[in-house]
Amino acid sequence: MSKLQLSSDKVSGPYFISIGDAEKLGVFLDSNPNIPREIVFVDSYDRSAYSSMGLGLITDADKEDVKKIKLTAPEMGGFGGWWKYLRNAATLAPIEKDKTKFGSIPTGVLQLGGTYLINGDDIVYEYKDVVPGDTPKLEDLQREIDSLISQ
Amino acid sequence: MRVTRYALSSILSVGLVALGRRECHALSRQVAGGRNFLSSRYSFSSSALKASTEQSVCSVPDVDVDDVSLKVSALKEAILTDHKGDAIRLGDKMGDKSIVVFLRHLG
Repeated sequence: MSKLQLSSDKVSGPYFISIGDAEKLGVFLDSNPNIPREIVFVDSYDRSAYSSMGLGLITDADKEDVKKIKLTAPEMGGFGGWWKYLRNAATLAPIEKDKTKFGSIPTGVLQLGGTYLINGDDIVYEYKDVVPGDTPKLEDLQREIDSLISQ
Repeated sequence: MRVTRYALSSILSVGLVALGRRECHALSRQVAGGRNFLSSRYSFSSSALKASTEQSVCSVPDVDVDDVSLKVSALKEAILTDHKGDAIRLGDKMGDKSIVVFLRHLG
């Protein structure tokens, strides 16, 4: 399965969140016209939204967990294509202007992501990236969506 | 702010465990004050905090802070920026059922 099937009147999104500012988001969306503008947003450089969800940094990754992850090349084309592109390859280069000092590593560039399916006040599905490029299986997410819709 | 809210709820919960029955009545007053402070300042709606403060203050310090409710609440209250530069509250975009993806970064 390479394409996520959403019933738009029952499940909204997916909403994609990155780190950066409107300028960088605009540049990114201009260069990726197939991505709907109304579903992509940026968190501020303090990563407050990421932090509130408990999403960690790459440096937090457990070495044993990292060994278990198999990375695959992104597959382009259709919804599944840009889904994987966003999850695997896209970056807004979240380094705040004039905040990078020589020899330091900006926290934003080390941020791991996550995927959530929300139902009311409940999290039906949660997948926290273990390493960069680690993404949830679309099949698993689709299964949860189907189950949620059928309720 | 969201971090502060979470920290406050955690502190309240840890306080319940640490003090236990012996401080029951005094603690009840403290917790009530804390709940009012939280709800008035942040419109706090977590069932978890209500549960930990209302149900068993005097019986058993059985703390069950519901991380899920807190996380969903934080997610909906997240203030993000759209492509126009406008600040948006993610909860205003989300429906009752939604998919939200946080992208990772390598720079």
